[in-house]
Amino acid sequence: MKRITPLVQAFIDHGRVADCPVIDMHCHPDRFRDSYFPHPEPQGIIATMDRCGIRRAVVASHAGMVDPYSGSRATLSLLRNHLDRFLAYWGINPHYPEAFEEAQARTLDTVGVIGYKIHPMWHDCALTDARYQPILQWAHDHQLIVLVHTANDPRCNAQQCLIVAQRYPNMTLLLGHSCYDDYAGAIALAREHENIYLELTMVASVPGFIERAVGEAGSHKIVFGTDLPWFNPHFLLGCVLYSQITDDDRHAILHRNAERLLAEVAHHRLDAAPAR
Amino acid sequence: MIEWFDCHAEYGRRRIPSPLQVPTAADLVNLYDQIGIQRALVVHSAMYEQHPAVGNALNIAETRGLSTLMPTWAILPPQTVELGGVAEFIESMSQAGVRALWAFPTSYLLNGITFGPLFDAMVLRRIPLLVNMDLLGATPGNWAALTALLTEFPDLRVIITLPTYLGFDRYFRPLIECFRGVHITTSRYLLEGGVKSFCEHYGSRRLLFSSGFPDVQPGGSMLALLHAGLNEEDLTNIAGGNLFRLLGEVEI
Repeated sequence: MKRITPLVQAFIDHGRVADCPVIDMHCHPDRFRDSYFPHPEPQGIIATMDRCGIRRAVVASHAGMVDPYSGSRATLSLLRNHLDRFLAYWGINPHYPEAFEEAQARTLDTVGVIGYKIHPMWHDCALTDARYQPILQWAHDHQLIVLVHTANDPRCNAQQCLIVAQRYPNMTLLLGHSCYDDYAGAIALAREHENIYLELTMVASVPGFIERAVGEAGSHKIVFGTDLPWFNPHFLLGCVLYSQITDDDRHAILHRNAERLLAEVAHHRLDAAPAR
Repeated sequence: MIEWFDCHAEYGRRRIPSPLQVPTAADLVNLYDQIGIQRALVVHSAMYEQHPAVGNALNIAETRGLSTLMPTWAILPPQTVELGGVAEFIESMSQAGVRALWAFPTSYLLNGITFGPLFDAMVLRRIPLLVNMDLLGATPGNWAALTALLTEFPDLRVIITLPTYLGFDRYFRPLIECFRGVHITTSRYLLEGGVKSFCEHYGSRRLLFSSGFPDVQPGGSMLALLHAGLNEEDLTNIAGGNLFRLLGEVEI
């Protein structure tokens, strides 16, 4: 298989390609305690997206996963000012269940909120813990997208994901980081369950992962993500582009699958209440 | 045209195979022809998977006749004389055309008590030491150990391969500011805006392009550098110019 196809060469030459408008399904537009980011603010994120040919990103603020009351205000501002570039997951902190009512309402009445971001490790709360279930049930009832931080960790491993995916088949479950360090488990889930997708943040650079995921789960079950402002999108794009897969696979991973998922969410929300 | 000179690539069979590993140096050359990397400073996996004495010899034998690959050797504490004494080791390096050394510190301490005479000789001859922080581990204690080493040998040329994909700027930028011999490789420097920000603060002469092959999917580091918003001089330096310069300054 030829490695440098016209699509790959176009990215090498220009850094972005008009007919491959990347969609980033995993983005956090603010600072974080444990890492230095040169440009974490929204304008910096937008500049990066423009440089890398990312048409749209789905965000969940770091702050919103700490303080569910004040932390997500920046996300709302982002949606108000840049709805053409951003959609959002509402950040869930299971230790504040009294905030779930707003989290549920936002998916109905706030344009651009397409689901939830859940981080079982950060909150030290297993994905199958009772505290998450009202949110997951809501996602099932309203056919939303749930991005879960997943890893080879008992709180958010493939087994945990399997349980909730089977319990709530109408939600779309994105395996953030593709069960990092349990790639076989993640790939098997994506292959066998219609509502589970692999997400490539960080794992795009794991040697051989992309080829294996495409070969075993199919490129139609993989979406692209960057964790911006954590990771340079071009680094992760390069990992996808230089992989030994076809240009059709690359288009599916970089934008077509996400376009399909986001269109389905939009379709399910046609009955939503008026936006606020 | 940018000339890519990879400062960290590996071939050979590992104990636990990497999905992408290539068994021979010739295979690595073929791969690099496909993806557009012109030169590489290479490791044979046996240098750390078996024994430096085995891997060092294999790296010379495998790269003989392959003009685009430059072999490196791994170090061991001179006290056990497994690679000869310091003078003998340096002389062997010279004869074999080796101009850079690797520390894979899984069974020894990287400090002056262990390596004093060797590091003194390396400082004198400007021989770079590549330190695999992935094997060391990304603990604050290991960064502290590296800081102590540099404090002891402030003129040692040390090329640090970052341990994981997370941001480590808060650890390595102080080292860059205090020790002029410290360099950072790019194979796991994924931080968005990191390379450009680094160059704005410290210039482009302390960053070295590396693929990290076969531990990192190839291509990512190249595409990231190409479109990092660097000027041509900075990009040329990082892609290969800095490594050419460092190896050219070795007096052996």
